[in-house]
Amino acid sequence: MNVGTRFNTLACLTVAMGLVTFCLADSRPMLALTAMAVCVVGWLTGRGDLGWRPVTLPRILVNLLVLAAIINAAFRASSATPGQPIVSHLGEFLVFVQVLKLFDRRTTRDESQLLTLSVFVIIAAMLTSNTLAVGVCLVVYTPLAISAALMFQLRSGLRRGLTEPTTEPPAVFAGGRASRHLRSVAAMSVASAAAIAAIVFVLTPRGLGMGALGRFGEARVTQTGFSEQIKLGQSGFLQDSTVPVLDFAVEDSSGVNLGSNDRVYYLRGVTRDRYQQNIWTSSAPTPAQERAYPGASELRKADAGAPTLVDPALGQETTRAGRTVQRITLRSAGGEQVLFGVWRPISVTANQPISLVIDPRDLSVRRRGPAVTELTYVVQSSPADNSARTEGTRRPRTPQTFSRGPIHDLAVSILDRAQVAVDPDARDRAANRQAAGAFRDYLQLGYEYSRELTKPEPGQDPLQMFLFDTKRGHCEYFASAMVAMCQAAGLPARLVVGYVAADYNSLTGKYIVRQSNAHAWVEYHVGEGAWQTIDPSPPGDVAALRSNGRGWLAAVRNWYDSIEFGWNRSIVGYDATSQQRSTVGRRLNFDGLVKRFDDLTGQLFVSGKKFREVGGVAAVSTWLLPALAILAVAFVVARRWIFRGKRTTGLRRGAFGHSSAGAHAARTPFYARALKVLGRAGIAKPDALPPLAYADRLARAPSPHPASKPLAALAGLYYQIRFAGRRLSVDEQAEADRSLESLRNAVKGYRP
Amino acid sequence: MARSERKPTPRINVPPRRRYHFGSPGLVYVFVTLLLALGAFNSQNNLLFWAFGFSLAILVVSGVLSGAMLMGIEVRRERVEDAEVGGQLTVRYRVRNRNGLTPAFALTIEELPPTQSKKGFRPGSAAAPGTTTRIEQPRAFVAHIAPGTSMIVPTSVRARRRGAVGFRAFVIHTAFPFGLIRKSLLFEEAASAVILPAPATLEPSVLAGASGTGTADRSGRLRGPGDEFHSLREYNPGDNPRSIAWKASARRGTLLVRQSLAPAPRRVWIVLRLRIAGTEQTDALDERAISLAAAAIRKAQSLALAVGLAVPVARLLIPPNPHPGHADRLIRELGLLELGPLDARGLREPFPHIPSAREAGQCVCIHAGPVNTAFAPTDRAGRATHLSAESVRGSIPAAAKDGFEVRPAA
Repeated sequence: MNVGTRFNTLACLTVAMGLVTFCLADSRPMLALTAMAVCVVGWLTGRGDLGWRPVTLPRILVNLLVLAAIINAAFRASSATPGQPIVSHLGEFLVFVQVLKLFDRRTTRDESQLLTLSVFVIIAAMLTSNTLAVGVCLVVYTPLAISAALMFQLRSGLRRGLTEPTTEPPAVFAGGRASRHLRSVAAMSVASAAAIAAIVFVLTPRGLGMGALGRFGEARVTQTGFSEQIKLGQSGFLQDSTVPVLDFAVEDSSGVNLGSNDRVYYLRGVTRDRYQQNIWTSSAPTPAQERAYPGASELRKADAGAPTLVDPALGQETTRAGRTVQRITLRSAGGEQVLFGVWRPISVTANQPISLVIDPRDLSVRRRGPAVTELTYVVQSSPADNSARTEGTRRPRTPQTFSRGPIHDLAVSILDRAQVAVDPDARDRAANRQAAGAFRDYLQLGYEYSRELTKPEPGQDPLQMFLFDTKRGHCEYFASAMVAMCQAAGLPARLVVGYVAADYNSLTGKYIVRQSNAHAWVEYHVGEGAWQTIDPSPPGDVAALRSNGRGWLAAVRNWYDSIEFGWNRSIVGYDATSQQRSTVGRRLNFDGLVKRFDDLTGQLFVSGKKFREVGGVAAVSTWLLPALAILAVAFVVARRWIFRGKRTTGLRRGAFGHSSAGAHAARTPFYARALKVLGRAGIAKPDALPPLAYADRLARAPSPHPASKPLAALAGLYYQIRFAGRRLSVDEQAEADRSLESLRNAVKGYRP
Repeated sequence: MARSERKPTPRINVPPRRRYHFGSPGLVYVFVTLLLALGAFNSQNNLLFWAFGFSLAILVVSGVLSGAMLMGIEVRRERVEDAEVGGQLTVRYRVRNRNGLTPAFALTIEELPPTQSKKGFRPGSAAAPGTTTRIEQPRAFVAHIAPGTSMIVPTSVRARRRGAVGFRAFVIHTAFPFGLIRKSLLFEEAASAVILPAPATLEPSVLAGASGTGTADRSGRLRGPGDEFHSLREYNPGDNPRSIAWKASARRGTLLVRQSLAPAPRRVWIVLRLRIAGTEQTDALDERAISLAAAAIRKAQSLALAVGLAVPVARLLIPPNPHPGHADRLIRELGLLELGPLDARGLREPFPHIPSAREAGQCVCIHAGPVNTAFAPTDRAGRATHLSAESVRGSIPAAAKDGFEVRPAA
């Protein structure tokens, strides 16, 4: 085994894996391809067994390129667009420097820098994204990096161990035994490290110190296909991205899963009821609505397991038997995040402290708080009625946008053909349902579903373009047309945007909702304050576009989704709640620890704020005292650690009659001083060697040390005191002093 | 001027001293781990928690693995053979891995420089310049040693200067597997070796005509063809009939053979006159003179001459001896010569009396400066061969304090 060649391969593989991981996390396929190509070139040029010298760039060029990269990264970071975290720019900079380092490998230090940079690139990848793909890359990267580190130690040792510098260390491993041992060590290291890391991961309390150091840029939030802004008339194609957005599970009050491959659920996001200049907006809330829900009121978080819950819309208590429980896991949640749900929510509980806001106009629920990588919440609702009886039995006010014009005429003609009363006051609940059904059938039978976006002629209304010209469009057009016709017929209706949960994974029992599952449908007022959901888009086309397909590809996809779900659930989504639910968490009471830490930091930050505002002595002492306490503890610990070593040494020395240990030490100060003199001169007496024997050794050395004679004299006197129990006479004391002085002079002037 | 003596130093079984060294890579690693912890707690990013856990785990594994590896390592230094200036001094270590399961990797063995304190010694650091002037710091590397095996690890260093080299302790250390923590074991084992002078190029006329055959005016101690009677022994078939001692045989009643003493080999004295230049080149000239002396001794040995050595300034006087190992001893004494400060006696006093030089034999006087025949002893015929170190062709190194490196004779 040639150590140099193997290290080169491992190092390049490690670097490549790190680069791929970051590019995957940052969604930069072109950068990944470029980096791979450069890695291959770097690997080839770093091989010493192909007959050519390793290619290295001139130092000046490397430095200039790094400087340019720094300037570029600083400039881009300072002008970062919202939504692009700063870590993305830093990662890009690291990628560039890493690639450059492949061609700047001259010394052992350069190679260690190569591996270190790779680790930093991986950290940047982890800060950028937490997807399953990144996790898989980390699993592949870890053993590569560990193996490269082991091989690096061998390579650097070989280079240092040779007295003559060579360009390439020779092969030192003959046969397969050394390789086998090295692989065993690497495997054992990886396994041990993974086990310890798993323990640390599980036991580290979550929620402790979150945001304590401020926010350094928001983590990348996945762009969902869902958009609150509904604007018609754009050109192009609808995005067909299969990036998962959320996981959805629905069960009844007894816990039975209500999901299946044949059942589709509409996850409601926001609603719009006013159409103006191609854009759908919301009407202002009515006084009655505001009375029911004054302003942005808080939706009370209710205990999910409580037997009765108060329905905020009805103001009545509901029992558990009638509830439907929806468990939704958002893959990422922004600061102002719409919480989706199938029915009108009665209660919303989350796995982390959040602030919920309910919109009185359409009872949509939002979450306010910092962006998180994963959010799980449970919505309890009553499917018996997905209405909000906010206005009692009165018919809600309808915008008069379509009270006249071609759309109104079309709506009237459809009602005539369906033999439904045109006058809204003449229609009852059943007639309203019949009217809505007529509009739906008209659209589904006469119009074509298409994801292609057609731009209208200048001055032309896109809704009219859809209804009267192209007669093809996507779900927003179908829903918009239906809402327009309903409103034209005096039937209150609103456009709803959200997601369609159609992709059921039987392995996990959940629906995987992707960006491409974003959808628009309609809610219309049937009467007596009740709203009904209706989807005017052609069902067959919608199903064909939304479903995941059949066959082995779909099975593989399901398998991958289930693994990804497990990844999100166990790793990415492992939080304080999960920890508290676990056996370990219950025993260790992390919740209490986190609470105590939060209280402490809260007090500290309050004091810090006061300090900034007031700057008083009290504020200073509040900060100073804890800091001093921490320093004092650290000092005591360090002293104990250092002194423990010295104490052990002292005990060992005392066993050999050395230095100040022992009762005789007070009577033989000259001996202790002599040992110090020898120690300072670099010829300290070994502990295991008696002083006279050491003096003899110094005398018998190839180059006799002049300190041997005075040391021998001192040793003799020492023995008199130590073993004979004598006391020195005045003359002997003077001799001891003279010998000590001779010893000092001898070591001072001695040069080997 | 001191004349060093080399006596075997006893090996004292001192348990190796274990130390942990936390260098800059380890500190940087700990710092990065702390940053990871801070980042993980601040952002609650679970992958950062994993990374933090891995960092801690790597630290633990690194310490445990390196400790486990070194716990079972036993190292002994083999006897160090002498070497010539300009040649290679080889130091061999016997490394044994007593571990039953754990192999050892990336072990570095370094000799402790003579003037370096054991406490202050940092393994892996380059030896300070000037601490080992005679040789470079020996350093060996063991890439791999399987459990339960032992191996000999040699390392060779260039011998730069003549003189005694003492080894007092060596350190075996490793930073395997991750280079974060370096663990070392200090073995206190004394040893010594001598860097012998490399023979210089000698003029062909030196010792020309001399041969190992004795002149028969003096007998040696070895039996052989000669005139001087040594002893009688019983006749063995095959003995020369002319060596039968008839009268003694008649008296004894059995055949006896006469044994004689071989003539003593010719003797030659190599006399070194050192410390006479009194200039900056004194050390260099003395080294040349010593190299010349070494060359002369080797030549005498090749001619089977009994060679003796006299270095008056060092009070060194070794009579000629035909023993095969005597020449090696003389070369060794030359290697151990310590050149002290300038000795004025070399300038004025003649060589001490060498009575045997007046008898049959030759005297080769080597002057570390201009030849002055007034100070030379002569043989019976009043002859002596004088050589000057100034005539030796060789380069004087730029850094004189590092010693003089004589080019070995071709």
